[in-house]
Amino acid sequence: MHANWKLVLAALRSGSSSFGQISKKAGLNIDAVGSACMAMGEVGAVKIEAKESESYALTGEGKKFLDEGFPEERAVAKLRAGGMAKLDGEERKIGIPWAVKNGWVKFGKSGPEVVGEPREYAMRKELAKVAGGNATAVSNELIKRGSVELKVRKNYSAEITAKGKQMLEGAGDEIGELTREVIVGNAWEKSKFSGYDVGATVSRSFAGRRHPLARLMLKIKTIFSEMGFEEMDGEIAESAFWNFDALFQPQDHPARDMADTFYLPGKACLPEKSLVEKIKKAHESGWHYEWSAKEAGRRVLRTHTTAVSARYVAAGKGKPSKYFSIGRVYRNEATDYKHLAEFHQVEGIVVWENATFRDLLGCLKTFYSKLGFEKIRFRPSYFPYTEPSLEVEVYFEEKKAWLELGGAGIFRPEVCIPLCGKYPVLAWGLSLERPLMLAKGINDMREIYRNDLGWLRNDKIGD
Amino acid sequence: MSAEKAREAIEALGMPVDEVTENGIIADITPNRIDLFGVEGMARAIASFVSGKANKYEVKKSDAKLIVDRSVKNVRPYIGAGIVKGVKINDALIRSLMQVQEKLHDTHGRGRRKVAIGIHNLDAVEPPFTYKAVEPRSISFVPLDMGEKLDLEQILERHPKGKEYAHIVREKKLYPVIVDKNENVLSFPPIINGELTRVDEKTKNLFLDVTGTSKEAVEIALNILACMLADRGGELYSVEVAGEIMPKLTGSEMTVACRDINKLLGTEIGESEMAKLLKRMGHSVEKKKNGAMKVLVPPYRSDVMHWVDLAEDAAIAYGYNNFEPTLPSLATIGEAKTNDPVAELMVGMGFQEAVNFTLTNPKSNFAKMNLDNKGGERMLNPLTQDFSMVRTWLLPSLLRNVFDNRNEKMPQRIFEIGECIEGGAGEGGRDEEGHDERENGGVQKRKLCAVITDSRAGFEQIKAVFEELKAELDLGAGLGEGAGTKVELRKTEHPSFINGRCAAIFVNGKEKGIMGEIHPQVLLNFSIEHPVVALEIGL
Repeated sequence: MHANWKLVLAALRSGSSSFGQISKKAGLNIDAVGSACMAMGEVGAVKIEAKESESYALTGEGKKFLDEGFPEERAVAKLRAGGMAKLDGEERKIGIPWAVKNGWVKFGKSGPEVVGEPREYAMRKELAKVAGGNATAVSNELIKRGSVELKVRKNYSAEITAKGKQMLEGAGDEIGELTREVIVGNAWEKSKFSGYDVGATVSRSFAGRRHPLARLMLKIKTIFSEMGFEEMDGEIAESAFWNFDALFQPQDHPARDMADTFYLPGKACLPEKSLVEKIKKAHESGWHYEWSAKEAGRRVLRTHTTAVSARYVAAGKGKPSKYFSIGRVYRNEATDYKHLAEFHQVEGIVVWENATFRDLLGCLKTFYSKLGFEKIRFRPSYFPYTEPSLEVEVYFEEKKAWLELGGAGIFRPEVCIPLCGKYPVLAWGLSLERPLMLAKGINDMREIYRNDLGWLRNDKIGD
Repeated sequence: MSAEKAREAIEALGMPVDEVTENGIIADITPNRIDLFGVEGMARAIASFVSGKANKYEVKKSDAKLIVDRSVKNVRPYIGAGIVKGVKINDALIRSLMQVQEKLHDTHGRGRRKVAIGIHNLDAVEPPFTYKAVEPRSISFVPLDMGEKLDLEQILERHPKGKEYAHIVREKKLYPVIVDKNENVLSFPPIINGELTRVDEKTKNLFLDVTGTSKEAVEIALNILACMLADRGGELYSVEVAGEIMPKLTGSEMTVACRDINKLLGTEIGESEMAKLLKRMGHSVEKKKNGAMKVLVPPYRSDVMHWVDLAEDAAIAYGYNNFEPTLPSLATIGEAKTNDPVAELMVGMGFQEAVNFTLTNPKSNFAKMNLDNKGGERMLNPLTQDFSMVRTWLLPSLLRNVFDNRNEKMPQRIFEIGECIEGGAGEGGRDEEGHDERENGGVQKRKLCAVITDSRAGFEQIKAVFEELKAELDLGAGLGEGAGTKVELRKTEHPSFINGRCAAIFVNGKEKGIMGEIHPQVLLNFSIEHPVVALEIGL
């Protein structure tokens, strides 16, 4: 006999019990009890009885209303704050009629006016009661509105039959759980093992996984290491000097605007005087304005990891080298499905007097091909610190479209020479999130940072 | 030329085409090519690209003079001017002029501060003109779109453009104006022109003025306008501005070696071929000895500052996708920074990794955690209150994750390894001691945070994780040997944790982290209804 059958029958020896009680007595989970009882019911070992019970539960809308308030409550609050224009569709269509019905709002000459106070809204209190599982009755209005639903549940109980008792006695010498005593005491040679229902429901054992973005970073680290690149790193709070000035971005450049860049309080120290002087000279002769050390000393959240590259180019003093980094960058922008205020950049530089534009294209092509994007093309572009400049696009089969993945170019002599005295330096700054979105079929970039376990626990780590 | 041919040329020039409609082609222009802001510039670029020939511009000499008074030196020092005769003013030209003017004002002119443009009916006024700075109340004229005479201060107060751009002139005591021989006002730059010189379809001859704070920027804007009007059939005439003949449309000369371009691009393009490529981008090229080329850069190309800009032009004409990619033949040894060994341990213990934003706000980082709103690296100009500081620790992000996953199966074990900034200048823009002389403000730290939530999550579960991490975390010395590294727990109090169920983690006597059961008030602040235990430690 199945081991679980035996445990369930033993638990029933003292009389009829609900599945929940059996689960406790037999030490089995409720699913296992259910599946054993149903199977034994079919062979007549137990008799099963089902009783219906009713309870109330919140619908999705009900949960939302509980968290955010009913549309009529929100409508009243917004009417007070600023008027009709602020109301969303739900608050207009559903909120206003209910607010009128509740006597909170009256229509005057100039439109709706607030006349009452939705404090301690009875419906909201009812929702809370339902959410707490303490509601035995609920007003009809809430059910009609679809905020609460009546759930009918079947409560099962089982009772052992005469046949069941016989089976339990007959199974006396079958081995249930395999223990040390069974193994070393040789009991397994004398008795049979009770069989298990191998189809019984068992809940999944969740593995720990790295986040898909972290896995992509590891993959990219491997690719660049294989291509001979050494990893560099830097801090997210940076001086305007390294983020902009060292990269030949004039101090009145629109990208340095308060609207695009997060500025931090305090002042940053500038690097050694000789370098500052060279940068100042490059700006003044290239862009024709008076360069300000004070402006360069402002602190920012770095807007690109090219700031890290600039530091490494300066520190390397022109020694031939290949570097990469992956890091967070910040833009003072509103977020939407394809723009974030914070995202990652995959950065790379090749410092070498013999490096060429074709080498730049080759590095990018090799990188993307190793990442799984075979079809790639380049488009002229513009960055103040590179020349030539380009945009990389990959062809995405599923969308039948070319998608932009990042920018690249050769640092201008006005950047390279003051920093390290050598020219050229190949450079790129690519998106980390976009290739992940393409690979995982994500349409909204914000999803990546939501950490939804439903997604993360089912993410295929073999991809 | 067909729309399709034009589209191909535009794309080959490096401008992605968004749409081809019956009314035209919509393409993105990179901000360095301010000469392409109007249809005239675009047509010129396409024509050169297809024909390989550059346009030439001639400026005839006229007697017109513009006197620059010394008073403008500290107000708005630079001015350029030109005359265009016989141009046919129609709807299309007016629309294009307005578009070019507006875009030049916004980008190149930095919102009219650096450069502003005025276009006038020449026949309504009489040279010589004078550019001078005057007392705001001393001159009155009828500004465009207004029926009455106003003085300069009144214009700033009442005229819509006056209100919009007042901040630029109000920095100075004197305001700039351009007047003619009879003291008639043409313009109050960079605010508004006079009604007197309004341009309409009957206008035959134009006077152009460009004022600003940078001589180079002023001249480039003037050149772009002059060339576009010449492209429309206008005849250009000079104005003598403070002794200098303007506009100067000869272009600038640059000598570049063909082999330098080839070395940069990694190509072996011959001299004639290279010259052809540059001509297609609108340059005139003259071959000299030893592979040097004398390139005449058109007067409207402000973006060509160095021979590498010519190399890019050659590459664009060659076609980026026609290059055979190569890998740099520079042998180097690749090396990635070590992965977090701790991440491996956490995954081994069944923890799911999370990646959260490092940007947050004081409410999430402090208030919801029962902490005082103090310290942290805060932005001076956040666009939204949601993202107004850099997180000082990871736990608030993970509690948010626990709330978001309230409908997912329990138990939940989640961890994150990420950057935080501790210290920082805090709310007032300075740190507590009033320091603001720091290389990088707050201190960036890499931290680990782990949380477990379940119907029964208790201290011993998170302590079990700590015990496992301990061997790894006191590293440096490695397992067993210890070499003096001492990791210990000390009972502590922390507002985010339950009193008596919270321990501080000390490594060699220094506090490195904290762990325990999250305080119910904190859980409720995050709308979490199950127990959560957590550990956070600096790596």
